[in-house]
Amino acid sequence: MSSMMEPATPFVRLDGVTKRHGQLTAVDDLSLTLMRGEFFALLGPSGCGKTSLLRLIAGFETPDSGRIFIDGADMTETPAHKRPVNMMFQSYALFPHMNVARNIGFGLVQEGMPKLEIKRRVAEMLRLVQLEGLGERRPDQLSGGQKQRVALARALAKRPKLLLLDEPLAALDRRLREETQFELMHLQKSFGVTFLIVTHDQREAMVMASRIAVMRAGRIEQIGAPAKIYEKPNSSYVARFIGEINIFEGTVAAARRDLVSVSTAAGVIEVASDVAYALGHAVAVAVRPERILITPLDLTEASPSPINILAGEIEEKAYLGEATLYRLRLACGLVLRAAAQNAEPGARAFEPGDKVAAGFAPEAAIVLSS
Amino acid sequence: MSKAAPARGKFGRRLVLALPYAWLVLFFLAPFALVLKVSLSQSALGQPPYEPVFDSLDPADIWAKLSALSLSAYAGLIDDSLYLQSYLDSLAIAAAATFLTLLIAYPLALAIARSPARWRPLLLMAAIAPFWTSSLIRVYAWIMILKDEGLINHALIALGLIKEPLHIFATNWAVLIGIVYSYLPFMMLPLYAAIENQDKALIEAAADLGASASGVFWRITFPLSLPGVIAGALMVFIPAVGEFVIPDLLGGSDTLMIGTTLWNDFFANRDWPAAAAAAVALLALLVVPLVFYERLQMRAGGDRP
Amino acid sequence: MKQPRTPARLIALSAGFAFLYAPIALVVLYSFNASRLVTVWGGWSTHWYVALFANKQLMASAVTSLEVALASGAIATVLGALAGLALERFGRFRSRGLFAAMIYAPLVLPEVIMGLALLLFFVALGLERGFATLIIAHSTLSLGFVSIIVRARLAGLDQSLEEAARDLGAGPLTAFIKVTLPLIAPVVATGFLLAVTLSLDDLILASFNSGPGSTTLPMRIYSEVRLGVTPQINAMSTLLIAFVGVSLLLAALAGGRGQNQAAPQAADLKQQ
Repeated sequence: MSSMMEPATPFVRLDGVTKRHGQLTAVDDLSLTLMRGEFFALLGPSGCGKTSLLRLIAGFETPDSGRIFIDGADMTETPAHKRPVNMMFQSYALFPHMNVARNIGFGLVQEGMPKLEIKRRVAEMLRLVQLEGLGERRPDQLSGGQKQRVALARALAKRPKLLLLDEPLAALDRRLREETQFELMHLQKSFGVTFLIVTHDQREAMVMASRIAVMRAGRIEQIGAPAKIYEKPNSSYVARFIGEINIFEGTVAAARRDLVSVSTAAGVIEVASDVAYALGHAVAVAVRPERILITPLDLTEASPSPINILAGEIEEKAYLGEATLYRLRLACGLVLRAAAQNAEPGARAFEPGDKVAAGFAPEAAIVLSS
Repeated sequence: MSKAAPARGKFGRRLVLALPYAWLVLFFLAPFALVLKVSLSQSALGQPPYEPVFDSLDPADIWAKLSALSLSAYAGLIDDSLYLQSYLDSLAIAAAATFLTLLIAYPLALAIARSPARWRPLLLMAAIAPFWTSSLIRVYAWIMILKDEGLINHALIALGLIKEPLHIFATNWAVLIGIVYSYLPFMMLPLYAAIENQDKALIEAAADLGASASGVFWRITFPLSLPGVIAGALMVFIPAVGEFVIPDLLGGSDTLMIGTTLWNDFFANRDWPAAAAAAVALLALLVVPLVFYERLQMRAGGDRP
Repeated sequence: MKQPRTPARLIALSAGFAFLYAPIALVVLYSFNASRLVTVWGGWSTHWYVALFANKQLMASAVTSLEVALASGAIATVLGALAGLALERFGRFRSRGLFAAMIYAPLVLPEVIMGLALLLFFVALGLERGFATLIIAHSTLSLGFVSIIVRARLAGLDQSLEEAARDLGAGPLTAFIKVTLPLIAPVVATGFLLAVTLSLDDLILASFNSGPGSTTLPMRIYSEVRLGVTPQINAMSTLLIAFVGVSLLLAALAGGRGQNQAAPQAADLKQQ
C-alpha cells in the first residue's frame, strides 16, 4: 500500500453501467474509475453484482446501458478477445488437453508471436510463479495451488494492461492463501499492471487492495482506501461488512461543536463528530470492538467525561491467541462485542459472569446515518 | 435386517448378474461359435445345407471330423472376386458415409449445445426423434425422393434447372445419402454429449486470451470433442459396413456391399458355409474398430478394459 | 460471449431439422395424395388408408409385429436393467470384460451377422423358427441398448441416497426397491419404449429368424417396397410415425414428471 509516485491517472472508467438478467438488476447505474497501476478490490456478498461487473469489464457481457472506457478507448462494444484485459478465472479454466507450457502460451499464439519468443516468455512466466520445470505437466497432474499459479501465469503472459481476478484465493487453504496474497501484491507492483480483484472476503481485500469498493445490490456503497473504509464507514452496511462492529440505534439528544450526544437504549453515548445533527434525528452509533476497554466494575470510579462507560456482564469469552473476544450483556439487554489484544501473557483476563465496565472514547465512535 | 441378509444379498447379486449373463452366453456367444464352425464345414445339399461336423463324441469320429474340417468356404471367398470387391466397396462406402455424417451432425450438435439451456433437451429430443420411427420407412422415403421420377428430379425439372433427370437412385450416391440419413442420430448423441460437457469457462478463457470465435472452435471446442467424434464415427462405421437394407433398396446392380452379398448367398444360393465364412470374414475385418469401440465404452463407463 | 441470436446457429438448426424431417413429412403428405404417382398431386384423399385396412396381410403382420415387440421389449427391459445394474454397481468381477463386450457388441455389429448366427443356432438346436425364435432374437438385440441407458442413469445417481436408506435400517434389496428403483423407473420405461421400437423396426433379424405365420410388418413392407412405391405403405408409415410420436410424447411427459421428483439429487439429462 505505497503511495503513488506520479499523480494517479484514470485507466478504466465505467459510466452509468447497468446490467439486467431477466428481472434481476445485477449492476445498477454504476460509475467507477480505476487508476493506472492500482490494486483495486470489489468487495461484497454473493449476489451483489461484483462478478457481473467483472464480466462486463472483461467483455463477456455487454451492458444494457452505460459506457465502458479502457485506457481512453470506448470498449463497450468491443468483444472480449479484442480487449487488452486478461482474466484469472475462479475455476482456473486451464485447458485440459494442453500441458502447462501450452496453456501459458495460448494467448501468445493468438497474438502471432514467433515461436522462439513464446518459448522465452513462457519460461519467464514459469520462473515468475515458481513453477520451473513443470511446463510439460498436464493440468490434472497439478495441485490446487499449482493450478492457480498456472492460471495466473497464463493471464499475465500477454502483459495485459488490466488483470481481472475472480475470487482467486477462494479454493486455497489458509496458509497458501496468505502466502499467495503477498505474492500477488508483489507481482502487481513489479509489473505495474492494474489489478482488479473480486472477493467476498473482506480480510483479503483489506490486505491486498489499495482501494476497495464495497458493493451492495448492484451499487457501490463506499469506495476508499482500506483504512478509510474501516475507520469511517458511511453506512451500517459497510460498517458491518468490514470487520466486527457494535451498532446502537438512537436519536440525537444534544449537539455541541465537536460532540454529539446520542440517546440509545444503552444510555447516552458521546460521539466525536464535526457534522451538526438536528435534534431528534434518528442515527446509529458504531464502535469497533478493539476500541473498547474492559475494566472490572468495582474498580470504576466516576470517569472523566466524556468517556462512555457501559456496565455489563461477560456472557462469553473466546481466546484466539493473539486476542481475546468478549461478548458482554449490557444492563439494557443489548450485546456488546469487545476485543482485547493479548500483548502481555498473563494479563488480566475476564471470565463469563464477571461484572465489568466497557469504556470507549468519543473519538472511537462514529455516527452513521442509516 | 437379519443375519440372513448377507447370504441373501450374495445370492441376489449372483442372480442379477446370472440372468443376463446366461442369456447372452446362450444367445450371443454360442451362435457365434456356431457360425465359426459352419464356416469350416462343407456345403452339402439337403436341410440344413451343411454337414454337421460335430455330432458324436467318439474320439475316432471326432478325429475323422476334424480332418474333414475344410477351409473351402474361405478359399471360395478369396477366389471369388465378387466377395473381395464387396468388402472393399463396403469399407469405402462406410468410410465416406461416416465422414459425411460427421460433417452434417457436427454443426447441428454444436448448434443445439449452444442453445439456451431450456431448449436443449427439447432440441435434442427433436433431433433424435426420427430415429424412433422405422428406419425402413425412412429409407423408403428416400426412394420416393431420389427416383428418376421422384421428387427431387420433379422439382428440379419443373424449376427448369435440369432437362434430364439426375440418376441418383440406384447408385452408390443414393446409398451414401441413405446411410448418412439413417445413422445421423448415432453420430449426434455422442457428439452432443462431448460438446455439452465442456466447461464453459474454457471458452471464455480462450476468448479472454485473444482467440476469435473460429480460434476458440478449432483450438478448444473441437479438440476437446474428439472422444465424442471417435465414438460417433465408430457407431456409424461399424454397422454401416454390414448394412443390408439401404444398399438393397437404394443401390443399383453395381452396388456391391457385403451385407447384400451375404444375404443373397444365404437366401438365394442357399450356401450356408459360404455365408458363414463371409460373416466371419466381416467380423474379422471389423475386429480392430470393434475392439477400439469396446475400449472406448469401457473407459467411458469408468472400467478398465 | 453471449450473442443470443447468432444467425449461424439458427441456420444450422433449421437446415439440420429440415434435412431430418423432410423425408418423414413427405411420406405423411403423400399418404393423403389421391394420385398414386409421386409427381402428380391428385388432391387430398384418405382412400389409401381404407385400402390399407382392407389389406389383411399387412394388418396381420402389424399385429404380429406388435406382439413380438411387446414380448421382446419386456424381456429386454428386465435383462437389460439387470445387466446395467451389474455393470454399474458390482465393481470388478471375473469375466466382467467378456460380459461388457457381449452387452456392447450387438449395438454396433451388422445385423446380418447376428441374424445368421442366431439362425444357425436355432437350426442346430432343432428349434422351429417362429414366434419364439423371433422374440429371442429381438430381446438379444435390444438388451444392450436398455442396459446402456440404465447404466448411465445409475451412474448419475447419488449413491449416498441408498446408503442413507441402509443406514436407517433397510437391507440392500429393500433400499434398492424403495430408493433406487423409483428413481430409475423413468429411464427403465424409456428403455422399454426403445426396445419395442427396435423390435417393431427390425427387418434383418426378423427375416432370418421368423417362420411362416410370423411375418412381421417390416418384412411385409419390404417385400411390397421392392416392387415399387405403394401409397398404402405411405399410409402404414404415417400410422407408425403417429404411433411413435404419441409414445414419445407420453414418455417425455412422464419422464418430465419423474425428473421433477428426483430433481434435487438427480444429476443430468444423460438419459439417452
